[in-house]
Amino acid sequence: MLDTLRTLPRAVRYKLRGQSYWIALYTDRDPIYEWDCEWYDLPRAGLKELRIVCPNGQVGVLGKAGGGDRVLQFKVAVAASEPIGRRTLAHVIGMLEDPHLPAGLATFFVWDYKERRLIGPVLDNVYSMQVYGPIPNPNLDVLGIKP
Amino acid sequence: MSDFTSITLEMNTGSNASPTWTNVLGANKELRWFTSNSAGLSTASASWPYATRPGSTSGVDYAYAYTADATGLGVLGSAGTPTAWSNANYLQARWNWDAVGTFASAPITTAYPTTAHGSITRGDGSILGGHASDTGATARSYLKANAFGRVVSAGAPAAAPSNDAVGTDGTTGSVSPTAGANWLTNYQGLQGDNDYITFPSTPAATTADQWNILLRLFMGPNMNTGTHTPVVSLKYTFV
Repeated sequence: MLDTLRTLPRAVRYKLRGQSYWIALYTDRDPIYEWDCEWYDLPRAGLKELRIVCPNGQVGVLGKAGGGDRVLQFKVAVAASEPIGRRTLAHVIGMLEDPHLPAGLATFFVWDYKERRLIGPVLDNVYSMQVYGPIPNPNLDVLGIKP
Repeated sequence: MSDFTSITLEMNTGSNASPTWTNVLGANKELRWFTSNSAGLSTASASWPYATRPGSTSGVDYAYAYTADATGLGVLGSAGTPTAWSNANYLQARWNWDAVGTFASAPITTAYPTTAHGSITRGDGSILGGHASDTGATARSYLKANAFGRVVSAGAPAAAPSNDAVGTDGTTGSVSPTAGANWLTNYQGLQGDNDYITFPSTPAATTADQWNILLRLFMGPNMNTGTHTPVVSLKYTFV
């Protein structure tokens, strides 16, 4: 079964595994998929859209001209004293609405792995996120956001 | 993509002076508690002895690190039966992660009632919900924790928290130790997304490290009876 999975296109594999993934679309180059590069290596120039593709077929789209330096993405997970060990709870993509970072207002989409549904678009504050339970303030430097 | 390959919860089955870190996270692994050091080191989980609720809220002093259903070691037992809880044994537990992942924010230590990581009703008498008569008017979890303000690569703890845990310890929401060689002044109740501990910063990317914590369990006369299996958790984000 695992060998069979490895021969399938990445997008199909993610769907079969019940995983969401992100895609970055550009004005001047081919799209970049989650498996193409690490998030912090993602080219920001010319980025026009960030999408989250969910295993149930839903797609969340965040777009804004020149928004490459405002997009963020991360996953929420737990490591726990349980047989399963680690598990992903949610996948978050966001785009800062306000170019003045201290305000922190952003639009988010969240794929909720527990509820198996896409939440959003939701306006929330990147510095006090409640879109998926309490999450410590994301480290914007790690996420590639340029102040 | 950059999730961690390994994050473990390790208990010290050596001594405070000479730690031996034993992973209790994963299949058939459990951290168990009992009121004495006589629960055994080869007791199957289904046969774990019951403890009688005390007349007033008090600590459950002995912790056991089981690495298989009937294979255990005493926490701080120097490879033998566990040593009774002492706040002075500050090298008791730690989270340990590998160099594969990158945190997107500061990690959280908390506990959930089940592997569904669901919400907790404060004051419901459960081990994490607590009870107003046992764990404070704003009911705190019976399971408390303290946490150190820096990762081991920056310096492991060299002294104990200033205050021992008490049954009413806890603060609503998040608490963080001051960054650096500092424990929380008082212990925090671990109550899911209600009460929890947040590390003071985002740990370095793709760098293996450890975060020292202390786990202290209490029982009280109003605690629900039954088998309690709280899920001690590191909630984290990664890019």
